[in-house]
Amino acid sequence: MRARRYLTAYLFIAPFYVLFLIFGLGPILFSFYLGFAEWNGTGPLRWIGAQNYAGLLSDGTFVLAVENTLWLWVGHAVPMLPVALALALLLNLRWLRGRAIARAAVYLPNVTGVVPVALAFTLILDPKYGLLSFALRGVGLSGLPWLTDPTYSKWGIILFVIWRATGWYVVVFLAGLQSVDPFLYEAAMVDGAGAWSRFRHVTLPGIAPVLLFAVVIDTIGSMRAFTEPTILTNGGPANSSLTLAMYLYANAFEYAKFGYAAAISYAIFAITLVAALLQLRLWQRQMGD
Amino acid sequence: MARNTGQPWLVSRRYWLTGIGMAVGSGVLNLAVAACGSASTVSPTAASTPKPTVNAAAAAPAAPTASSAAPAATAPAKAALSGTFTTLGWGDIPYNQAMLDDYAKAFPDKVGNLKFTAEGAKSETEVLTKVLTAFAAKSGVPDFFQQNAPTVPQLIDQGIVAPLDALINPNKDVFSSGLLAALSKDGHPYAFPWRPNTWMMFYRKDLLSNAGIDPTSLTTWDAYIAAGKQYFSKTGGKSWLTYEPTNNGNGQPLEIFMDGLGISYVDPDGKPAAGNNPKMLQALESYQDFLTTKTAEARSEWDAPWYTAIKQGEFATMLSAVWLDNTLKGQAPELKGKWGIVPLPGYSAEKPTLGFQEGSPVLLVTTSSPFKDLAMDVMAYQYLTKDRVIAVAKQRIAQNKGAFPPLLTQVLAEAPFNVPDDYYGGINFFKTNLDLSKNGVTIAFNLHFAETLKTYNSHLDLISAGKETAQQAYDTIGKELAGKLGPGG
Repeated sequence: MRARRYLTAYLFIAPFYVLFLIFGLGPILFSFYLGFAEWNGTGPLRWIGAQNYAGLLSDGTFVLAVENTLWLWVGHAVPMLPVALALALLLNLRWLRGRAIARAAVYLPNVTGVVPVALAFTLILDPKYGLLSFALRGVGLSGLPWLTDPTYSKWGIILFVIWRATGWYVVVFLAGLQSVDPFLYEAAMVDGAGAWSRFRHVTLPGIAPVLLFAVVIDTIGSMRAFTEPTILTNGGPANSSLTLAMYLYANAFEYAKFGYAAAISYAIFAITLVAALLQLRLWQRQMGD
Repeated sequence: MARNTGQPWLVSRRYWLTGIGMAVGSGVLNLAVAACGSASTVSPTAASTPKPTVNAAAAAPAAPTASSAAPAATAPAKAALSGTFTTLGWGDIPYNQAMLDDYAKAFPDKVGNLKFTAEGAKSETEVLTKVLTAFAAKSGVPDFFQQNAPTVPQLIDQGIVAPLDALINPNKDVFSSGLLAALSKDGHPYAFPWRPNTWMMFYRKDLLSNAGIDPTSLTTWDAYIAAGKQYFSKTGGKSWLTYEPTNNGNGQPLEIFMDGLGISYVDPDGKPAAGNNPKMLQALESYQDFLTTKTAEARSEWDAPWYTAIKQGEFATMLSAVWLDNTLKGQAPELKGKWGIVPLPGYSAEKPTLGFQEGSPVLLVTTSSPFKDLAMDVMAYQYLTKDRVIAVAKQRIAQNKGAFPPLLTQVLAEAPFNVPDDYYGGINFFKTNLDLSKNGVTIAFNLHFAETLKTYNSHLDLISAGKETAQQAYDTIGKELAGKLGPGG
């Protein structure tokens, strides 16, 4: 009786659940099973227990991919998020002229296609013919092999990611800044708080959830880094910019080791989960202070 | 109200849940890549291949031939077939479609009501992904497709490709035995190398002449390296040659050295050559010697700076394969007459390095195709039939695309293959190619070739960057690969 009463409603929401079961939950469960199997993509699956996961621990390339991924994450997040916040503060100033144009300009890199821009970056970063090298030579410095030397390859990618993603976080921070109650600033000014005190004691607590959101989202995105390093360096040289997602892809679609690839995907999931939970924990502590 | 100040536990719980949700979401995306490639990253474009409908009795197959105007290696059943015959490749897809359409016009009785479709992909990787996905889904598998030779063992292991004995065995003399061996398993050839990647050294005549270097003297690696030093000092530090640190483009020096020494990444017993075969150490040392002369420049290829560098004469020599011909002529037509071609140097003056860069692009027939005989017949028509080969070359030259080097020596006496090539100062490019391909060898392609290659390449990058020696690479690669390669490599 009750089921019949809600039948129409269930039918309305059914398409989502049906699609989710087929394209969401189904692959998740299958890939979990696959993580304990050996499969070349076409033949029969062979159950091998936890060998894939054990193999990860002794796989130097996987460990290097973990290091690279974390390196790329910290390398871009540490400078990018403060810069994005500073830009957001600047673009939130009411007296700033041309704010709308400035906001659009800052956001523009994020709406450009990642592939053509990455290709343009390969030209800009070319050690001999690139614009950056040209500019460096102009001030008496030599161009660096940004993308072709194991020492610098990650920096080339970090430069690109910062250039492209900063605008998105500026918009996120701007939204957070605009949600802070202006009366709090007035009250702080009445109490004699200076600009730094207002930022420290009003702005930062006011946008703390947004900051947390940005950090967590950036972490998740970084653990899945694929497109940028693929186009800029293809993971090289010497695997110096190989990321976890690239290694996963290589195992699945280049080496036909789908079971191992599935195990890597769960490792990525675990690393992402731990990183997100750590951030939440740290944030909780901060909020508790 | 309570959300921000009154009940911190609620706040934390909410954000814990949010964070976990985000992390789980990320995991889902990652998992989807591994488990749902067909849904997210790959969409097979090849049309589903229906069972053939045979409306008439099968006729006896025609005798295989590789000459004159006679078509076909093995004629398919003479019956009114129907359905769709699909090919998949990358690059010049209109060329593939024309091949199919012309075959249909030439042999209407064999084709019946079949519809021919040439599907395209952006790259060989995408072709491979599409084929794998289609094969796993049992839908949309092309009848034949193009790949690069190194993937052949994997495709055989996966049961995707069928043996081509009927096509290749009657025409074995057309191919280098070394190349065929690399494409065979248990004596059965599985791939048709329609354009073997013959190694050749391209050099700038004018630049070598200005530096006082005689190209015909570059017969050994020692002579080549010495000439590089001479060139480097006379030109104030210009590059003698260019190479790509990772092997996805131009000639990879290590592979050339391996061909010269007759070894592969993996030995016939399945063990990695690095760590087990002293000749591999010799090859790695040659690679290191090459780079320590500082006359070689590592740089990425297939981009505008690379083309610009070619145009501006930044490199005097290029150790490459036959395909570079079209690239040079397309990108730098103004350098007509300034390039020359000689065999690659060798470890002794009497023995130049003759072989094929990563074998060749190859055509493969799928096991699921109901039109296997027809697929082989199309290939025989296109590449092993004298009149057709000549006609296609003329068409391509008229379209300004450049003719593919032929497999058949019989065509060399006829236009356009008998015409001197002004781009290389009047040599017969096609004859040079066929001469160099005789007795050519190629490295063996093991089952885990892609992974093997990446492991080697990562250490070559380290040697290039001066962060590892040849001996260290030899020791490390062997250990790294030992755990990854199964029995038989």
